[in-house]
Amino acid sequence: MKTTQLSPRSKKKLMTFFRWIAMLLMVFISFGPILVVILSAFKLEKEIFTFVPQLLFKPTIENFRELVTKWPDFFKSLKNSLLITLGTSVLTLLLSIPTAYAYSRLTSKKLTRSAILLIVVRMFPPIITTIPLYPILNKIGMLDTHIVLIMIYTAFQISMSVMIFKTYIDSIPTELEEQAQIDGCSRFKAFRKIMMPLLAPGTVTALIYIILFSWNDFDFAYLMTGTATVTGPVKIAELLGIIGQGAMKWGTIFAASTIQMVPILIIIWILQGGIIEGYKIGAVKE
Amino acid sequence: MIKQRNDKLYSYLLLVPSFLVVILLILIPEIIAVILGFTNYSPGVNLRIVGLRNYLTIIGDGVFWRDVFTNIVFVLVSVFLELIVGLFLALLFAKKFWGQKLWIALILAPLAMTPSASATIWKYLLDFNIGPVNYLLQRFSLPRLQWFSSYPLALFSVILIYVWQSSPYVFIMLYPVRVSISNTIYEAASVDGASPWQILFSITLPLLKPIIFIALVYRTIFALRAFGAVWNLTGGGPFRSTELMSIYLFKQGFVYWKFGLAAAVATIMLILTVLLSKGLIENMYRTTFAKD
Repeated sequence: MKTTQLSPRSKKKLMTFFRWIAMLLMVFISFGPILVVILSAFKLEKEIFTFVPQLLFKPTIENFRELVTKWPDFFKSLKNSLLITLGTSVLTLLLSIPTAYAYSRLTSKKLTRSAILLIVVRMFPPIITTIPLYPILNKIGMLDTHIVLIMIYTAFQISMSVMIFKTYIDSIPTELEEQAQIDGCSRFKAFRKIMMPLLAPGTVTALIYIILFSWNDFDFAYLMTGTATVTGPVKIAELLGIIGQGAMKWGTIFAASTIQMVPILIIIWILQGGIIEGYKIGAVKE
Repeated sequence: MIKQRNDKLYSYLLLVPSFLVVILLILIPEIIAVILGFTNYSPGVNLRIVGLRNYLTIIGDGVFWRDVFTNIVFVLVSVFLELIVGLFLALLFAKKFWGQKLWIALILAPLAMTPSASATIWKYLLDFNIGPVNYLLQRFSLPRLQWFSSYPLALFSVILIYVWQSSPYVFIMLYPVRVSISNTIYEAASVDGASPWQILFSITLPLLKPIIFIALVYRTIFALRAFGAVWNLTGGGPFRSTELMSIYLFKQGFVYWKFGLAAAVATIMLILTVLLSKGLIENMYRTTFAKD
């Protein structure tokens, strides 16, 4: 046994080495599959299927060109996604900030109980709402419209957004607003001038989840959209559905997936503090 | 006095719009869905109340029970694996790495994938003929596998991909709590000569227990309603071996147009979810809204 005994220093070095190995392995499992697809989007079809994984290759935009010329609908679907994401973001912020403010500063103990409803509805499985919504929206001719998805997404995002904003507003001392009101500002003006700038970090935190949900949602979009409003995720599913039927190439669908996911990957990288913070506040406080 | 009355007026004004949206688009549809579960609702058919007939039909349907069983396996295995992976990641990243922010971003990446994009990735990687994974298997003289079209392997593939995509959620729940544990506790334990395993089992895990429990409930609720993640990979096949309750619901409603039956399935899912999430709801209310 004596011979295998390591000095504390080399033991620590060895530990660090294993930690790095473990970490890189996890990163490889998480990100490797995504990277393969992003890289393959820049390969020619015959290069995608040469089995020895090629890291060195001459990048080509052939797949993207094919996507643009043969599947222009895909870009229309991204535009729909963008519109719906923007609409949901604006509407959710507009509704949830005032509500959070009311819960933080105004409501009585009794009225605060109403927040339970906000939390409860968020837990309901979303797919269930589609059963009555689908025929109703169909009847009133709103099934294939942007506003419907924006409203549904907003309804499911309000709760977490309110929780995030309430927590941030709670942390801002009331004295700041009171001082402004004494100085002659109205309550609304005091809120706008004093609170809004201080809420910027909270807004970022809330926005990440709103964007992540409305840009990526498949379940609702699959059921509630038609030719006019089909979103990126549904379009990709459509393209994937016809793979191997001649007209659709893997390279093309890799290009489409890459365009859909790269913006969100960049957001995740830049705003990851907000992702962790948002979940801490909006989901799992102990 | 006036100020107080004003406050009350204001708060109604600020709360009502949010509540309108939530009640109109979530609460009322869910209530209607529960009611529809007791009807024969289907487009083009006269609406009639049929009592418990939908529920009896479901109970008598062998496919439903098979889907329930598949769903239970799916939930148990995927949540268990997610917790293990998420916990491992949280412990791993507790000590900072050089370039921490980039590594964490790459770990979180799967969570930013839309189900159809992640299906694209995995359907390619695990394709029977052209997939790199089967190529590697062959390279090591192992047989190629039908990852998505054989039973029970398809369910296994679907679960692993689901775990790949959702483990980061467990990580972001556990990681901040792990980081918030004061280092002095660990130093003290070290000085007292505790082994790493002792530290893990008598310090770290007990302190993480509450959040692990919350993560467990949370992930169970989400695994229970999984739809797109599985639908995009297999559509419930082969031979319905990856069909979950949500897919059964979808098929009854949106393929066979038996909305009454679909609503009954929805009600069952709703009841399960409510039972599971009761504690979570109380916890969220108490920590975020309750005024002492």
